[in-house]
Amino acid sequence: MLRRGLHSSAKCLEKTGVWSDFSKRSKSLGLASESIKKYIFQGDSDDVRRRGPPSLKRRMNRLKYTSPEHIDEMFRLSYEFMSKRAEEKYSQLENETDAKVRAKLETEAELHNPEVQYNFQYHDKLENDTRVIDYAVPVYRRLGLKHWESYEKMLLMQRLETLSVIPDTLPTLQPRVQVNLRFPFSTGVNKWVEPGEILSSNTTSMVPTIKIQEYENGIDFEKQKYTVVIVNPDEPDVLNDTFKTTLAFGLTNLKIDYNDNVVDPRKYNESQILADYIPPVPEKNVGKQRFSVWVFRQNGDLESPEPVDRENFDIREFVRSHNLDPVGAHVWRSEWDSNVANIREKYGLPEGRVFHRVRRSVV
Amino acid sequence: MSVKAAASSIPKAVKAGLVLSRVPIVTPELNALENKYYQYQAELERRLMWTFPSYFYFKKGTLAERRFQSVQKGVISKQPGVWFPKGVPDVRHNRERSQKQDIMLPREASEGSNKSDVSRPIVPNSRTTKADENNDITSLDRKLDRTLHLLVKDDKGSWVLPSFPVDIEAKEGKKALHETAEVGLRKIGGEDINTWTVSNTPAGVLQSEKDLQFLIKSHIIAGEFKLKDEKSIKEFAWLTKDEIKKAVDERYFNSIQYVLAEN
Amino acid sequence: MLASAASRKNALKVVQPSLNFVRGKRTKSKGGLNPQAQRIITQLSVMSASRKQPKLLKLSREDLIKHDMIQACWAQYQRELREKRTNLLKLQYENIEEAMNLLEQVDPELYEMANAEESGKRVPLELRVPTQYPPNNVWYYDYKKKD
Repeated sequence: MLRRGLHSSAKCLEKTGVWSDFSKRSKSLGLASESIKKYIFQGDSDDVRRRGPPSLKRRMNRLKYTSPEHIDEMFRLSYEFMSKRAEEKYSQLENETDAKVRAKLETEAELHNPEVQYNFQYHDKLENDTRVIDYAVPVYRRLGLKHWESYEKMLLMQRLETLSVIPDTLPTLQPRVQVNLRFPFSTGVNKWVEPGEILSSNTTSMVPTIKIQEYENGIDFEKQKYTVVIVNPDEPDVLNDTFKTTLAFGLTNLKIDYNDNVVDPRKYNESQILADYIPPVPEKNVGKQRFSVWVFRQNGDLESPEPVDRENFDIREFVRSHNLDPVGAHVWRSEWDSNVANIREKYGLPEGRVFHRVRRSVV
Repeated sequence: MSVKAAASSIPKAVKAGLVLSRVPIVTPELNALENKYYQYQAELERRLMWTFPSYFYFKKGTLAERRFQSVQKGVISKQPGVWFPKGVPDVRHNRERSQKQDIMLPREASEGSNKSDVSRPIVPNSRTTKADENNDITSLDRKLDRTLHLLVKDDKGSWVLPSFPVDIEAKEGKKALHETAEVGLRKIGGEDINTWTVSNTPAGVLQSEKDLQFLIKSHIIAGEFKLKDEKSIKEFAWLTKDEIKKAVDERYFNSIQYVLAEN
Repeated sequence: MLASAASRKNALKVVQPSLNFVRGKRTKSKGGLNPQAQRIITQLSVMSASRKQPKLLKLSREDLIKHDMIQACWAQYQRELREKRTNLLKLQYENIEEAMNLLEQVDPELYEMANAEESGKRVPLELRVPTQYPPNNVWYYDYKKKD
């Protein structure tokens, strides 16, 4: 069990090699915290070892903690080994012109960088601090994509299919974009909404903000514009004894970025509003209404949005005629509660009907 | 078409070349990365290993158990009213659960007992031999962890693999390539060599202007290559692949490199 | 064992012990189990993990990052070794193919003999498996040709 770390070589480890040179690389690829960096790279020096890992906040826990033996020496050897491979990738990158291969090399060169891994694993991915997790850097995009695919993407698809949003609105979805939803302006609970969550009418009374996270490489955000549409397929159509789809909210020609991608009223102007936000006002005994958010990539600009029929909105026709590409979705559910009447009053909507209670097995 | 036929019909002398190798006697040397990694993993394994069930191997009340327990380091159990800065001890079967278990084996009392005693301490033989120290390239004892290949010095003074001419014209009693190689080896190196030919199929071919050498691989199992004083071969050597690269010229090495063993 | 009644007046009562000859040591069994059952229970307890498993190894964030990097490095190293090995095998095969193609052109009879089936060929026992340390007699030099 080596007690003494070789101080001279220990100092050199984090200062030499590709991963310590930030002249050509983003600052987000390095660790900001000096204490954590010291613990990782100089873990066997006496004072670092005495102080314990900085991620443990309580001093008691820090004293109790012992790291596995030989981890620091082995880590040093591994770091040199992997940074040499990264250096080779960077030298390959200099002569490479194909954009796809470049992106691949850039990600592979930084994927095993311990600082990048720490930054990604232990900091907020959703409300990312660009100095720590910068989605403009290919590595963080790849890590973000893998993280999304490992749980949240599957969860979204499960909810869309279980709630039958998928066949009822658009036929299917290949999600390529992570969509997150929150209602920050209403006085209700302000948190990121889980797909399929039942929200109170108070929560959904004000306009939502939508975060559109792109993970694909090679998107030109100068030209690429997005459309967001919120659609309710459960509006009862009494005349035809069926349900019809209504448009709750519509935005077009939105411009986002890898990092700056929260769509709230500050981000768009009057001309980009396809249909302004009408909050969910479900009627009594109608059941739970699904409100599905659809995010599309536009193929070119959407010319002056013609007045859309909000009461009988055919989303498939809309997508087809404007040549839109569905890339992401989200869904929440709303039910009648006693506050709906207030919201109808506030928004100047007519009074809601009251339906008979029907015994239903589902929804 | 006719040109091609002419080219292939130029008669070249066919020879059977011999790649005679002595396989490693000792496991390969590990580099720094491998050593450290195995150390690290071994420590992790020891930390996660189950407690040694000494109650099974050393029965209660026996002398062996007493000897064993006397050599073990004691374990600190938890006590009320005592502050344990490193955390309250969690002891089961005499083992602190949060750390690896260190078992000391009792040493034999008698030192310097006679060599034939079964319980004498094991002293392994050294991995380097006298031949390593003297750098004797004709010895089979050198570099026990590497594969050694037999090279001979031909009349031009360059190191080559031994080769023996094959009589293609003979109508009867035509020997296969591997048989020619085996017989040829015994002719130049003495009869007392025990070899095993890997296959009758040649492992490669060396093409020069006047001859065509088909290489046969075989391993030497016992015996020695004793050079019979011949005019054609002055010296022989047992060399590893990197030493061959240094001793032999580049073109020749490039044509035989895949036939030689790496380790 | 009859003691002379006259000499020993003390109450050294002669008791005829009843000797039951049983196999195995005469051990007191705690819990009222017979030794065979106790033996089985001990063996089962040795095989089970109860009370023998150490505490779960919990790594801090930084140590986990270090461990992940070590594992990634090892995986990469092994991948490179494996690729080198498979590449070498491929080149060796190509060598053999080249040699046999040439041999076929040069001398068909030799080619047939080189292609002959060698079923039942086994590696000889004397070709020793490498050990960590060499044996006492490193090499058998005194081999004599057998006829």
